[in-house]
Amino acid sequence: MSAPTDLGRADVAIIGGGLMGCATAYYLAKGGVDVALIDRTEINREASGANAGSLHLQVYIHPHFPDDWIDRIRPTIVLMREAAKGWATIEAELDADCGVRLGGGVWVAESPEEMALIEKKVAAERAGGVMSEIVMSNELRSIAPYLGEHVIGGSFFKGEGFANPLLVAPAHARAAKRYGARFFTNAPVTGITRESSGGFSISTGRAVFRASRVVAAAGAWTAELGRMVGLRLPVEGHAIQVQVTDGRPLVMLDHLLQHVGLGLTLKQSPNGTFILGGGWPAYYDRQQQRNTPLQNSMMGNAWVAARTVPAVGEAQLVRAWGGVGSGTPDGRPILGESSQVKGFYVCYAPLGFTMGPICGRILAEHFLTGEATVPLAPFTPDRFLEQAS
Amino acid sequence: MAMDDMTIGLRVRVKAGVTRGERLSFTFDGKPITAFRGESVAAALLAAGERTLRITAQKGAARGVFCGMGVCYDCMVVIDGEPSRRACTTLATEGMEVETLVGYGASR
Amino acid sequence: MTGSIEKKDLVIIGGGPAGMAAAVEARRAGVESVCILDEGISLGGQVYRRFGPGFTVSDQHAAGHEFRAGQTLIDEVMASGADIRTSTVVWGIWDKRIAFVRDDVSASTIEARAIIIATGARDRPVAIPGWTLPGVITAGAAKTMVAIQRVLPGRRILMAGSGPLALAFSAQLQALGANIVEVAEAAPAPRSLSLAKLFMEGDLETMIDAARYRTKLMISRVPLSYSTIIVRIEGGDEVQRAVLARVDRDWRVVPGSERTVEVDTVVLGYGLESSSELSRLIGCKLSYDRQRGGWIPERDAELRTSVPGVFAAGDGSGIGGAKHAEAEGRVAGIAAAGDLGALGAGEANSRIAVVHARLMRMDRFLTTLNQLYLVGPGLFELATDETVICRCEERTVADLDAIIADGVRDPNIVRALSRIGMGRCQGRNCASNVAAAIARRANCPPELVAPLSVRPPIKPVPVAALAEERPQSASETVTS
Repeated sequence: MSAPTDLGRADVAIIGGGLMGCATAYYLAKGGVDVALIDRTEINREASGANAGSLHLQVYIHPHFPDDWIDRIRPTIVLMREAAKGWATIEAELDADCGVRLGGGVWVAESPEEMALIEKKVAAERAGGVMSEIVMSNELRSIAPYLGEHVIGGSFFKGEGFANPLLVAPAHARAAKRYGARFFTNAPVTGITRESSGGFSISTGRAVFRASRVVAAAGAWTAELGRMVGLRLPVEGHAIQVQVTDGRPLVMLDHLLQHVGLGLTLKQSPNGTFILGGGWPAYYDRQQQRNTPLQNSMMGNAWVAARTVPAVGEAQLVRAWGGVGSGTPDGRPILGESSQVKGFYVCYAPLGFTMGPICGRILAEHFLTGEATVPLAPFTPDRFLEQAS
Repeated sequence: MAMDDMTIGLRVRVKAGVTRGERLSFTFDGKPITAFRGESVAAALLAAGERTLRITAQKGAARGVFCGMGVCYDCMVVIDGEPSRRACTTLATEGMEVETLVGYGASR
Repeated sequence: MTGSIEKKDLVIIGGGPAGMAAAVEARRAGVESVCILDEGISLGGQVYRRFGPGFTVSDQHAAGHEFRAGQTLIDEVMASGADIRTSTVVWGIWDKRIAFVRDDVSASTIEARAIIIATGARDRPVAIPGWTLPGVITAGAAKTMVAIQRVLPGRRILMAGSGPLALAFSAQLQALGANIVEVAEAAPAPRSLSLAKLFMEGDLETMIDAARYRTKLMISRVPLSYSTIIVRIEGGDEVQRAVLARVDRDWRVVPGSERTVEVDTVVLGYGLESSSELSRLIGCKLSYDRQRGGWIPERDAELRTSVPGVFAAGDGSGIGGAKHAEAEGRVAGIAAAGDLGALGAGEANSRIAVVHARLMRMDRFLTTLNQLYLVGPGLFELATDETVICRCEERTVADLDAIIADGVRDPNIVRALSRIGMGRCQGRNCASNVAAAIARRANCPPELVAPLSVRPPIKPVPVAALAEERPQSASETVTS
């Protein structure tokens, strides 16, 4: 058998070309690091490029989440705060149009129980520096006049909104390339082995790439990468879907709207189309080899959207697609170096589209200086190490 | 009663082989338009010489009927306040208020 | 889902000649529940479209033999016992569960044991400078306007297209009172040898018609120019004039041959594309044939697609015209009845054999015909940088070229980066032009350019229709 092709080497190899990977590549390259990014297909192919564009800069929660969910994710609130600052300046920083609109984030409730959940959420957000506010019915309707009659109250945070998932990761990738980062696409990683020199040898089938350090930025596939180096990284992915209407008169004021009791994220893009999300399940179509929307999800999602914002009920559904969602048991990102596999870093977050740029930035900060704007300890990959017997 | 179609709509209605149903009237941007039951809004407007049905959102370009079968969505107009209705698939009815669609339409 | 799902033996999607013929044969073979779903207000599809309510046919002869053929088939279907649902838009299929919206307001689902896709065709979108001006319409639109709506689309009409249909159509329009200023046929004048070959293989009625149409046009002195293509349409806000040019055998413009005609209406009749979105959604194996409609599902001799239980018939699986579609519909209906167990294999085979003979003859005729009017590559080279290529999103050729120049070769990625194909028409008016542009840049044949991926909804559907019922799982969507 012939020796595998040598693709070369880099100081840092980032595995995964979604927003996490591209953002990390940008910040590391900008910091002078010799970076190469490897992706199994093309960049922005999976979750980063197929989501609804929502910037979840407030706590994301629903009634059926575990009771202690806010406690579990509390350390991420300060991350959200920093992420919000980043999103406000990202287009200027990258000198690229990313479709960012930060008109404000509205959460709504239809019942006292749902309202109580929003109150609990707002308290945690404010304590963490995300200054959301409870808004009751009349005032809510003056902020968000497009709401239907079932909403009794909610919250508003002016720093939230949405961006265009088709543009953000590519913009980071272009900026990374300007700083010398190299990109290898259509190179699925099949194995990672430790070299005697202390670095890593990354196999992509018939080819090999070498790096002193590796950043796992594979989103929903993080667990698979972890297994290659013997690490347990419990990330679970699932198929979700998004759907889009035709262009309608503008009513939603660049808000990101979310329903705390029902599955709904809703926004209206500048060209008038409503974008409906909310974590509705899709399914993996083996024949077409991609996540595909489900009938029940399309209809259920439409029901919630039309009920919450009647103007959506006047539109036509034009497109739908499947995307990827993922999470960890404690709902927190996995950021930082593994103490068990030295030189192996993880850069993963649930709601990764929102968190991509900030995670890439603080991981790079930590990498370059040993410190970061937001402490990484709560997010360490070590928290999943099997307890020593 | 056979209508003398040729004098209606300036000799653009075809007489041969059909009798039309009752005549009706609707408005387009406030102007009265004659139609016959069974005609699409697009056909009646064409007969009246009205070919620009909408102005596009980004470039302000004039559009009208293109495919005539409901596939291209270029013939969209506002009907009774509702934006983005296809003129070629909508039958004209008495008293309908049809307007040029500008962009995505005005908020209601 | 809370609503109950109807069950049917056979669901036929599309109520044109193929769909109607399939229903007739399936019912004749004894299939119990046969359902036709069509988006029109009445059966007939495009080619056999009926007059609107209120119109009465006062002279069958003047209505045309195509209208009469359509009426015969419609009468057969109405008498067959098939469940006919018009104003019905199919928006998605999961396995054999078909989701549709009726009358724009109510959403339902039917679970079928077998499906026949008979979704027909649409005019080929020809992107040339000025093609978005009001006054430019497709041959299909002109036919609907004149033959069905009985309204002349303009005062001075230019017919620009190719193929005997374009010729026949011009004469029809003219006979109904349209002022056809010129007919510009892109192909060269057919040589008498080719015409003779056509005559021998052809449907005599069609050939006599064709000869008659040509004569009619000559008698009324409508200029008929061969090897002539429309290169540009001009006007302020509406069509005011068109520019024609002579072309070589590849339909490429002969420099210096441009000339202007003063017209207010341009009819573009450069062929048809199969509406194959549904077969692509279902996952049928496809092949590409530019002359026969683009991406079409592969089928066996009994018109089964690669997906078990799914048949495809008519122009939606390859352009052949009304009679061809009807014959295919009959084959599919019989074969489906056989597969469903309503008809024994022997009986099914012998019924199919009868239709097959007719189909084979038509196929030979079509092959020869297509050779005479091969779509020339020059047709896809008329657009300039400023030409709109995505009508819905107002994107130009320059916008597309910028993406292709960056190395993108997949129309799906083009769509993601430029919005070309994201509009209401869902790519129907731009996909083939985008593919042609990519093929030219990549110097590869168009069949190597991936088709646009199709997902539900395959037609725009009202949110309100889908939002009718409270779903069971609205509050338990997946975490994160």
